[in-house]
Amino acid sequence: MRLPDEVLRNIFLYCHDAHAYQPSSDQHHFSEWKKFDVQILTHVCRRWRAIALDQGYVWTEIVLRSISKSKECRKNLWYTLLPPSHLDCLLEGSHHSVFLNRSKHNALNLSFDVHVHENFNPSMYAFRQLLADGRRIGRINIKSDTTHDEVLRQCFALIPETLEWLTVGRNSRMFIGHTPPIMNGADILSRPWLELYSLKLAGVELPLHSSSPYLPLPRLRHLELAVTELSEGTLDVLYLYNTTLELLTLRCSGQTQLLPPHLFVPLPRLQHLTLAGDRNSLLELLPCLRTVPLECVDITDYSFAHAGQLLDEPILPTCIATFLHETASSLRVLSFTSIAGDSYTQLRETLPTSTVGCIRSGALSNRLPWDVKPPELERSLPQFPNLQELVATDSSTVSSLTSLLYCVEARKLLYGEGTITKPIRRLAASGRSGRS
Amino acid sequence: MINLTTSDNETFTVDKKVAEKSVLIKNMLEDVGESDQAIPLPNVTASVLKKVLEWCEHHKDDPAPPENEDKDDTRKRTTDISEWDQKFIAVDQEMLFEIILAANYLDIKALLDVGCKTVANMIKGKTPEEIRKLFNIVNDFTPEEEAQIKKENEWAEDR
Repeated sequence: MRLPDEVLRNIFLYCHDAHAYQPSSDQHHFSEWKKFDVQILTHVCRRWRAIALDQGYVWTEIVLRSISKSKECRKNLWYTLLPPSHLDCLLEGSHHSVFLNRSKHNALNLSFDVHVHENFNPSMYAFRQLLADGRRIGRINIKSDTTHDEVLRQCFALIPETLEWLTVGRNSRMFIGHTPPIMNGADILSRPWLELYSLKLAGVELPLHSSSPYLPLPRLRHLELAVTELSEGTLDVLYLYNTTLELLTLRCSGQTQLLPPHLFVPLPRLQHLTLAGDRNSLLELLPCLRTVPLECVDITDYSFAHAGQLLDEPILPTCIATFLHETASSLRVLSFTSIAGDSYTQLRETLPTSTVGCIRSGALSNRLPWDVKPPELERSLPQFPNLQELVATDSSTVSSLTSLLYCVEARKLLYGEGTITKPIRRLAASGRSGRS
Repeated sequence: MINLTTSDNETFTVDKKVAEKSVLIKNMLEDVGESDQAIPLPNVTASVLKKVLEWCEHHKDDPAPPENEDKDDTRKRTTDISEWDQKFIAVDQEMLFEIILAANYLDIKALLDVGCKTVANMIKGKTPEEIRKLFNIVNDFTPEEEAQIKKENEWAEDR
């Protein structure tokens, strides 16, 4: 390959952040998307190896995880003679030391899983060791559950102030005999992580009256909150970080406490907004948000997944239309999932839809295939003259793609009738199950 | 309008705004000032410059990328490529590399990124042997290096 070294370096950076599809090797393994293994770059030829080893950034992903002794012992019988803790240190230690050496002085990206029934002590030890060695940490992604709150707290206490990205996924797990969950927003938002750029919290409750005050995060641009209960406490967090946010995602899987009608949060820099929750949550939340013109709005209604059927009431589409009317004059991407009613048509009177180039649409459950309920989208195509991309978010891929093809045909007819519209140039399905 | 002369002595007359997508040309124009003389591009052939100018024409109204983009290595990169760029870059490997080299020489970062993403997409999901075959790369590792790589593979498996 005759590309110069600096170009090859750039290519390797893109490889480092890529995910590759791994087809099933046999009937016992599922096909899956896996993070690109940067080791491959060092196994091609001497030049590639030298460039990859010289580029510290591509070696910054460190995954702290527990070891399956039985699996390792099958590979090397000598390991059966070692005590489990020695084996953990031997295997993970060699793996980490290689990556640490190669990453040079670049900030590390740590992933840390704390699971029930697994020995996480070696991972915790490695975590402490990395921080004790004074390594700069750029990102941390921790997956845990409510039975390991104390471990999570220990982790948070160790994380340095220079952290830029933090993702915490905390699953709910309640067993008789375990101590009740002890962690909430104060354990995270009261820490002086002033460099934080992206914060994603799932399963961390945000009470209105925090046990210790939340600190400002002046560089925060991305905020993603997945909560079981939407309350004033959630809005309180938004209000604290509202001035810098460019991307906001709010998912509420449970109930909503009635929010005071006078309460609203200005979001002057917001470009991407994702909201997901049941009907009441969305109806409560949408009037509380004041944004400048958004580029992307993604709204999902969980209600019908709970009720088992779509409630064909216009109240939510009306609420969405009102919200978009005030905020969406430069909207490029419009995404509705499980929103009933004539949603798109309602936008016609209230929203300048000429900027919309991409529409994502679908239902959360395959109990409601598109071919049963004809998409309102097909009828509302004329109001989106610059629409060029349609994405189906249904769980059923083939039926939704078929419906999208009807939209393409309808669009062609519009063109034939002399309406000035761009043709649909891209169809995609991002269904979760991929079943037909 | 600006005149550009390629290595095979073909001259292209292009809109100044289109030509200035190239930082190299933009700087040259600023240094030389207004002139009727063609700007020589000794590292680019006519067939490649034609493709590059096609890209510049399509993207002439794109906003300039943020200046500090390069300095921040902690942001995630995406290998997503816009639909138009995908069609544009759907060329044979020889031309793909020529476009990348030209974008690098002419200092057109956004086009260089499209080329690099395309090559990264070709690499991902492949084994070292498949990559060698794809790009016609010779395996020049010594037996000792091969042994070292084999050892690396042992602990890298299933991780």
